[in-house]
Amino acid sequence: MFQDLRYAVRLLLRSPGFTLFALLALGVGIGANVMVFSVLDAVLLRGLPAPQAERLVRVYEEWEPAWPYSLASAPNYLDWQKRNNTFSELAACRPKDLTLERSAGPERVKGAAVSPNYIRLLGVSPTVGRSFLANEDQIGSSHVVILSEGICRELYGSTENVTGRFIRLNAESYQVVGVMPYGFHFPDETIQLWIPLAFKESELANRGNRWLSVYGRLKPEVTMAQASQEMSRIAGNLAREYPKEQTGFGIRLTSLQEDMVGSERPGLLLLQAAVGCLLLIASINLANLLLSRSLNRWRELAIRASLGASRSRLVRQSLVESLVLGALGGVVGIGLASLGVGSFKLIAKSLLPRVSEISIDPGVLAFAVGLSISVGVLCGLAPSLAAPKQPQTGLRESLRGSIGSLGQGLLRNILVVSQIGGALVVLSCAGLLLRSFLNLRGSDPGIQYSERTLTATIALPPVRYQDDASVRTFYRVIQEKLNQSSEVKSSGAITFLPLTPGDCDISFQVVGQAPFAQGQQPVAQYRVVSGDYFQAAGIPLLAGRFFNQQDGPDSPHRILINRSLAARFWKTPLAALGNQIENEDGWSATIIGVVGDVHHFGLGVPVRDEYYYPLSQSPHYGVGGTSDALEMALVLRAKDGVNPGTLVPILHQIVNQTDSTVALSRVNVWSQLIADSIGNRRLDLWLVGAFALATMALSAIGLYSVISYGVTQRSREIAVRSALGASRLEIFRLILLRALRLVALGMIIGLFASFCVCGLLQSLLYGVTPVDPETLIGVSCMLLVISLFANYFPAQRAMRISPTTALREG
Amino acid sequence: MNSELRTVNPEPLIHLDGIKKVFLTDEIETHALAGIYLKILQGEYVAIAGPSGCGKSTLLSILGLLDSPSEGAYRLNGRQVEQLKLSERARIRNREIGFIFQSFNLIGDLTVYENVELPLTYRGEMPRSERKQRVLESLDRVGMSHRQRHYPNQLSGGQQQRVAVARALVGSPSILLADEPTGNLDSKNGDAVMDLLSELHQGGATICMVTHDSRFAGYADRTVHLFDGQIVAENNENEGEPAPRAVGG
Ligand SMILES: Nc1ncnc2c1ncn2[C@@H]1O[C@H](COP(=O)(O)OP(=O)(O)OP(=O)(O)O)[C@@H](O)[C@H]1O
Ligand SMILES: [Mg+2]
Repeated sequence: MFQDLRYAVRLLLRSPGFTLFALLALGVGIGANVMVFSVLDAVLLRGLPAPQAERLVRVYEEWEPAWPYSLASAPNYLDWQKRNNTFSELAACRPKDLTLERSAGPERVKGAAVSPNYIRLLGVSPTVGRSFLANEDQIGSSHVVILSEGICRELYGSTENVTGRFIRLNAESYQVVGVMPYGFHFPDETIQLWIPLAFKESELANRGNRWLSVYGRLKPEVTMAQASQEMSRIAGNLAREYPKEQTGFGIRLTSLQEDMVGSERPGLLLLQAAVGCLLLIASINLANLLLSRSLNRWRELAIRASLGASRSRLVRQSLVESLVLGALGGVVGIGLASLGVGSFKLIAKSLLPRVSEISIDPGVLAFAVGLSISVGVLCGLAPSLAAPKQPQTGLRESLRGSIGSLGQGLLRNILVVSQIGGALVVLSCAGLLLRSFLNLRGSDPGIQYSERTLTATIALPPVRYQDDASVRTFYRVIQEKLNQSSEVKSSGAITFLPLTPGDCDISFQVVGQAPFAQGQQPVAQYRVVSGDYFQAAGIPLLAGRFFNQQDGPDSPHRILINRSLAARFWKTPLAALGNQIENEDGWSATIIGVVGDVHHFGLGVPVRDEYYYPLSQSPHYGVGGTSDALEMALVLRAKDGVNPGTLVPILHQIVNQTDSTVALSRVNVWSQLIADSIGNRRLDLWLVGAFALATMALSAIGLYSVISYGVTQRSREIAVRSALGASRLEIFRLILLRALRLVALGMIIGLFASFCVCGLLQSLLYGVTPVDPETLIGVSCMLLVISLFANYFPAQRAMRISPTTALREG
Repeated sequence: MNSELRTVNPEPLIHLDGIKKVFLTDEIETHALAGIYLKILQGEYVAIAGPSGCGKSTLLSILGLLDSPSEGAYRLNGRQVEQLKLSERARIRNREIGFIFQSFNLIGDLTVYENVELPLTYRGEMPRSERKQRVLESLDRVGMSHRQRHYPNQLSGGQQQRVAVARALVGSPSILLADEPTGNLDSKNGDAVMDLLSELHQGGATICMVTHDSRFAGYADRTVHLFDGQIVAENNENEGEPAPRAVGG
């Protein structure tokens, strides 16, 4: 055995070119697999980093079909907490951006307002200090904060002696009571601090205002199904007790892990499949190369007439050799993977959940080792299978004077055909992703001039802006100042910038039409706008007028609606004008205009019904009851020919002049935000595309090596044909046709496999069907061209074989 | 094919005039042929003999247009051929020359029939039926028509060489070139192949054969002795007209 090992190493050293190629191919193949697996493992497979994480669930309100996953209202959350017997804890959370005052000026940080038991529910405790106390959810005692380790070090340089210190959030003092362990950022990676969630009177009074993320920890012995049953019962009771708000509402439970990462599953599985294909093709390549080498070797063996034990010896030898290759390839692969994981974490930070948990841990290493061994065995298998039962058969044949191969090329051909097929499948997937991505990027978001528009999120500290008038004044003042600037064409603001996250909707009735039954009312998204938002965003007016000075606090309530809402009730925009709607809070307004549809929820995501009301008339800032209207996105369209980036200092200056405690965040050109909104698709595309190209390159190399080897093997046959009068062109054609037969067969198999596989991509596609003829034809042509290219050189070489070779013996 | 031409053409079928061949490998020049003057007449049966490495195969490959001379003139059938383009040479190989190799060189993936048909497939314009007729005729002449569906490795060495002869004949070439056609055969099979060649010669074929074996050289009309790339002697087996002979260069 040891002798075999030494021999194998010697053989590998003797042909450094082959060894280098093999290690590179295997290294890339194994590396890609290990990298993707480490992502898959961290994101999808591994339990959440909390004790008994499988007992953690997300609790949603559910109202089909408008709100399959709805947040919960404060009264409902409290009732659930009181009435359930299946959860050991039920906690609520509201992520919110806060303005942190630092020496350098105000800065927006991501925080979460959480119920006191939230951290206990997760089973994690602070490394420094304490969790929130039960009474800290009361207004008055709620000015305490727990920091993430990251922001704590940023603020104080260490985590020592920080409890008891004060920081200023939203212009109020908060006392630091604890610091969470490194890496803890629940509910998402961006959260930097936690404050207690203290319900205001208005929030406790409004059961229809759903704004809380609710999490639960199942009691031991309680199953998900039992919990679901109990919660449904509770939902039923609540619906009877509060028919106005709760009719039609149920409660939906999902495991927390599924809730966090479920949507990433198709993309990640696709990636894993793509790299699996890549490795398979790399292995097949290697198997093929090893096969050629072993064929030469058994001829040697046969000639030396060392028969008898030689076959098993050869088999063992080739297995040891390929295992050594596999092991070395594994080492290279792990090296590449750790580099890859590093860059992936940087790129994917904001695109995937749980990115910080990605690492090459023992589980991933075990996967890598298993993969290396399987690859080793797989590659060694081919030469073993091809080894002749009796080596002398090979000898006899070569002496008997027939040339060209019979049968021995079959295995190699099968390998090449499967490579081509595999490459085609991966390429088709990449092609479909590319088309979807392009479709999506090219799809009309409903806004215009985004590359000339600067956006920034602005947040007013609630303590300083307690009444409507002060908020309205602030926005009016800065918009006036902005409009005076010579670089700004128009400016406005909106709650929840289109194509960035943010969702708030409400049910309503159309005044004058037969009311919809409880639980079946239509639902619309609503947004507060100020200034010339529609002009700045390039949203067209289809009928009526935009908001203007006449729509003041004391005028009748007026709204604009989108085309989709107008079409639903009045067919045409014009017909919608003058009608009134009344929302579930009893607030009614007249439609004065209809504007174009905007894809608020992302490129390619269907438009929902929507209405806008002016900041000057907004019924309450309480979008979600939490003064969220105090946070608006500014939209500044630069004058023609002005780079929107130049508006940044102007904006900062104007805001600072107006109120220096106000922080700006997410200052960006709008088109950049739109591009970011499909960032994870771009990432998928890049990765799958890169792996597909690697797969294609490997299969082309495989094809090349097989055809090239075939030319060497058949050089005598080629010489004989040439001696018999075949022209060089005919020789060229002969080789090319042989290769093309394999390519064609591979492509047929690949196309068939694509039909089967691409259907699985459905959820990742946009504007293209899984079986897309154009994509399939496109990638087939590409593969064909690459294959022809790979075969050109062997065919060229064949053409140059001198016919005198036919006269040589041996 | 052009039998009419053959009978009226007063020129020798093959005329070599001062053919030299130099191989350059790793800066070393090998003078494989050092000035060959040779005429082969229509219908002649010439044997080329000489020690190993003396240039026999090289001479044959130049005769068969597999290779071109470094120097000298070569007229085949009255046509100057040493400067022709590759494609033209391939055409002439296909039509004028039939090769028989020491190691048969049948193509293992093709049946006996397909092997014999091969030279005809390179002609392009010949209809399938005519090809079939020619192949069967040719196989018939070597007594192998009953084996047309076999693969080469299902045949004995002697049978394989007879198939190879059929393949050389199928295009009705002007001359058959054979490099040690019996080299890989036992003496019985070797004799059979030699008998076959004699028979073809009787039928009018022009043959040029390289051989080690003086016994087999006796089958030929004339034997050319080669040494160090030059013709050093010629002897005529039959009492016919002495062939022109030249030494030196
Ligand atoms: N392609 C080549 N490159 C270099 N040298 C060559 C080449 N072909 C032949 N030679 C040299 O030319 C000389 C003549 O070779 P050739 O094959 O014609 O000999 P031969 O008479 O056929 O020998 P044998 O009886 O062994 O077949 C030899 O010295 C040989 O080494
Ligand atoms: Mg020779």
